[in-house]
Amino acid sequence: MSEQPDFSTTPRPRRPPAREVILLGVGLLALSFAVRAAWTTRQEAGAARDRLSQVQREIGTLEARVRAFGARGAGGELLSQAAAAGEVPPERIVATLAGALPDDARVERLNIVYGEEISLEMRVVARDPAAWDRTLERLEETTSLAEVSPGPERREGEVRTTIRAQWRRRR
Amino acid sequence: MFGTGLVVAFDAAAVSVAALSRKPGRRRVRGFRRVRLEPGALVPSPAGSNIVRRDEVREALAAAISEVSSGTGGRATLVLPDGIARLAVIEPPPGAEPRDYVRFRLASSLPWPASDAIVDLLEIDRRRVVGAAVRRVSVAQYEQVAGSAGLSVERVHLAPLMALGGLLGRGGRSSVHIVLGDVAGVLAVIREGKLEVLRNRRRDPTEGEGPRLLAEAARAARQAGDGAGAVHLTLSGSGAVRLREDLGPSVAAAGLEGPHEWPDAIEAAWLGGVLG
Repeated sequence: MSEQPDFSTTPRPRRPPAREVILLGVGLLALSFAVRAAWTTRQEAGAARDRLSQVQREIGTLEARVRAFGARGAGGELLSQAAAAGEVPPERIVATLAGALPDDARVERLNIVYGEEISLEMRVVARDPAAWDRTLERLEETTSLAEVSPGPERREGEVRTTIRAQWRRRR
Repeated sequence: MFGTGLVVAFDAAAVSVAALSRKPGRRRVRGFRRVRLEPGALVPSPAGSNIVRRDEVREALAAAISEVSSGTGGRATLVLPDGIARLAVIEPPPGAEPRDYVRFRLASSLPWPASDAIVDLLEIDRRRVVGAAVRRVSVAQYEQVAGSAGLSVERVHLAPLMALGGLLGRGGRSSVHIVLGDVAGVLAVIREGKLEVLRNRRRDPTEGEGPRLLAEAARAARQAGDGAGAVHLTLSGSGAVRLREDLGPSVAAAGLEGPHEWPDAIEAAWLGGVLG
């Protein structure tokens, strides 16, 4: 039977039909589930954002460390070169070689490579083989030099060769 | 809609009181008392004064209450008689607030200012409603006389809408229901539980009322007929017993079947809406 209309001059609030109450209850239940699901999802999203921020921070930290290591590597090489050059300047090496060579031998070209080690490569001209032998003896006897190794000789009156050696650093 | 209190119905010829109780699945009338009124004490009217001789109506009401209720007073639902309201089947357009639209549609046909009207509606299906408007001062007269008899009025209904509410939703064959009050009646064509036609008229109790009602019922049945055999005619309410006897064989001649009675409405037509 349909809900009868009320013509009271002072009507009382209508009591909703049971069907509407049930529908309202179901609706409220669905709404509560939706709110709970939304809340859970929101919390999960917040946790995910926190994890993302944490990962981003870790990435930033690692990148900074990588950059620091890189800077330290490149700068360290330069520093070590500078330190080596400061410790053993080229003029000192030249002066040492000049003092070691006999009068009948000369250095035409000298390369100095600074690094962990100080490598020397010099092109030497000796007036004759005897002068060449004395040159090698003198260089091998020089305490500042190590691993003195002569290259191929070209003997056409004069002896021309390239000698490689390591400068012995005092640590 | 109804609790276990009293239902008080007014009409021109009598005041009726029913005491209701509820059994699982169905309401039951614990007690019913009808006390006659002298002519002119209560005159159902849409615009004029309804309670003409107030003391007489109050005494009749008190007598009826004392017969069906052990105590005095209590909560009550009032049932106002047919003949005081303007009724119409209305189909509110989509999106419109139905009660506002009913008020708008009925306003122009009311014999009193629309601002004085109490408007409400009875849903009859998903699209249509029966809109009803009664004058506020008319309702107040019934409420006051009930209050003077010690009743606390909870709700106020209309007898024709209560009867209609009891008829809607019932399946079965097409039927024409004539539900009569003392001064007015409704004619409703119901097909498969749905309202097809609704007419609300003041009664003309002069000679020949029966044939006139029958002719109108036959026209309404043809208007709403589905061609699936004879349509049931059910006649209930005030004076229905006499009219059924008068009509008798002429019903079949009019192409209808009956006249039948509405079992729930034997005591009063509005009880069909309470018990249905």
